[in-house]
Amino acid sequence: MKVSFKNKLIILFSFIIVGIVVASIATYRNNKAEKDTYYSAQRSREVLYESEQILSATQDIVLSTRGFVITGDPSFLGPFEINSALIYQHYNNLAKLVEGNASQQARLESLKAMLDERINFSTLTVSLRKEKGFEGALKLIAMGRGTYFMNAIKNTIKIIQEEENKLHQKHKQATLNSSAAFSRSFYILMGIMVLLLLFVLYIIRHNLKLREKSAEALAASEEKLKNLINISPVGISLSTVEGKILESNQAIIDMFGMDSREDFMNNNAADYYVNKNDRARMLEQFKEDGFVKIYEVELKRKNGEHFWASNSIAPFALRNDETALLFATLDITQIKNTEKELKAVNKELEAFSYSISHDLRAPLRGIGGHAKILLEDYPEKFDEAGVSSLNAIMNNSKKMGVLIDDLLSFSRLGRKEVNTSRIDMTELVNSVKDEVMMEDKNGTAFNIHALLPAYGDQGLIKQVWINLISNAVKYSRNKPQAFIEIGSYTEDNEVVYYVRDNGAGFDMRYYQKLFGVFQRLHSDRQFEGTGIGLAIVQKIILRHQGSVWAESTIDEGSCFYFSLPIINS
Amino acid sequence: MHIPVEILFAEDSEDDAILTIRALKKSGHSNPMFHVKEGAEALDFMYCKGEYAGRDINEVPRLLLLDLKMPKVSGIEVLEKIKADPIFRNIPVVMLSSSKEDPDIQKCYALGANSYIVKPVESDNFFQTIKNIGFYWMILNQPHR
Repeated sequence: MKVSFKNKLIILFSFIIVGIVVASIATYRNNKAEKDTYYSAQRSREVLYESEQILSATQDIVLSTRGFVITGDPSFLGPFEINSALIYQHYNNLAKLVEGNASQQARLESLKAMLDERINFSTLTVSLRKEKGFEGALKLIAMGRGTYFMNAIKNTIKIIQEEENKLHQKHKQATLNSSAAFSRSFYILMGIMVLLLLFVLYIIRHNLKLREKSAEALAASEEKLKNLINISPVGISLSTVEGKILESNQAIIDMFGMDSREDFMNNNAADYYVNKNDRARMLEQFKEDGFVKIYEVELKRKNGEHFWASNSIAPFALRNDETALLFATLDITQIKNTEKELKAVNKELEAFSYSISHDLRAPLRGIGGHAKILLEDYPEKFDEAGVSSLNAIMNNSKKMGVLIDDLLSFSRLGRKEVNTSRIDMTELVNSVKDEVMMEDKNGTAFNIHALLPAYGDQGLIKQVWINLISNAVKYSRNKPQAFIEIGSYTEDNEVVYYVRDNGAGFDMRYYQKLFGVFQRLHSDRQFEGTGIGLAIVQKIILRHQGSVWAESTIDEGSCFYFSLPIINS
Repeated sequence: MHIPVEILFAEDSEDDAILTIRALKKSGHSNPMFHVKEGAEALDFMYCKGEYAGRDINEVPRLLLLDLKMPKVSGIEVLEKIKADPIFRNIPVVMLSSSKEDPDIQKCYALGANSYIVKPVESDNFFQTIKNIGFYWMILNQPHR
């Protein structure tokens, strides 16, 4: 799957952008985690501090209570109130700090209870001292309740602190781990991005190299094209629809007899036309079809000479999106002259043939006719030899008539137009066979297979069949039962037809003469004929781009083949 | 002058004329035939001009046998004149020619020829053809009047 250069860049840069975004997000989260760790450290410190404060305040209360108990001096009770307040203040702070941690909160609750008890105890101890004196207070203290709670408080606080530490450590460790992971991923990601960028660099460089190469190739091809245009014998020019000539090659400059390119391009293109309307009409056709092929038009050279040319036009987009006309102009003076000559020659030939057909036939009638008069009106004047001579005269003039007819047909074939159409060969062959059979007294048997259709000139191909089939009949008439088989098959790109007979056959040693004009492989005594039939067949088939050939065995029969190219319509 | 004629035959070739006349005679047609050697004479005959000034113009032949190629005035020109003229238009005209050329045939029919026969080279054929022409036009065919 070919990915274009542009798409490759888009994909790679998309990856890079995604990478950057991912890295940013990861970095942000990592930073947040570290900040959290910092805050959690902060909080741990505060928890420690607050809890220490509680402890110390509690201790102070214990000390001040003890001092009072011992001395009875009320000045020892001074800090008592403050410390109580402090305890609860710090306790509240602590409570705020451990919000969200259920177990710590629970411990805090029990701590509160303990603190309350301890403070109550101290308060009680103080009142007892005040009321009952030292002994009374001592009894209470000796009960150990105060100590008990103090220890409980110490323990609880210790646990709270340890717990807090543990949490902090866990948090810190987690953060360290994720940081480490983050770093790893980050560096890997950066590594990948660097690779991607290097890849992008490579692709860009590669593409630039390709562009350079194709620019070189383009330049080379343009050079080649320019040279080709300049050496081309066909006149090539580029002009606008209005007639301003933009470019021209050497051939067209020479064609118009101009001295230089500037000379040629100075004029408006329309000036070179004998009839300005011709150019307009030509452009009309161009507008309709989008191109012009071989448009014959009369132009004039610098010296005023008119000449016929053939123009072909193709559209050419100029840089400003305007459509210009690319002309290929061929001077067809020579071709036209040859055409004229050919027409003249053909006309001459036609007149010649006409003359032959008329003027040669008349004397023949005279020769044969008078011989007949002699035979019929003066039979008594001639003996057997004489009669035989007279018959010979008649036969010879008859033969000459046939020769003239054959020569004329043959010559006409060369000039006749071949009008191609689809031929139903089975129908054609059957109708020819019927025509030929009208003259056949031999009881020839026909086996005509279903024949493939083909494309050709109906009239000419009919002539081919007439000649081949009448030949087959003629040369089979000495056989007791004549069989003629007609069929077809395809081979390569052609349809092949054959006519097979079981007649006299011909000597394959003289195969080259078979299709020659007036060439015969049998004497006139054996089989009459002028030797033009097969020459006509060959000429017709050659004009159809097909081929003719034959095989034979003397006294056993012959098979004649002809092929017609398959035209796919 | 009174020249009995049922067939006016225009043919410049001596040989062809001899053979044709002989063939007609031999095939048993006793119709009086008049032979002229070229087109101008044929027209003079029809229009009772020149040599034939004394002819009765109402004595119209039953059949015109015209050779195609004749000097001065050809068979085609005679055909054209005859078929253009309302008096003679209905006379059957049979063109005789050596040529089987398409343009000739086309032109003759375009001008109104009733028939176009190619003169066979072979003498037996020729004889038979002339005989058939005689039989068809003089016996089978109904004249217009």
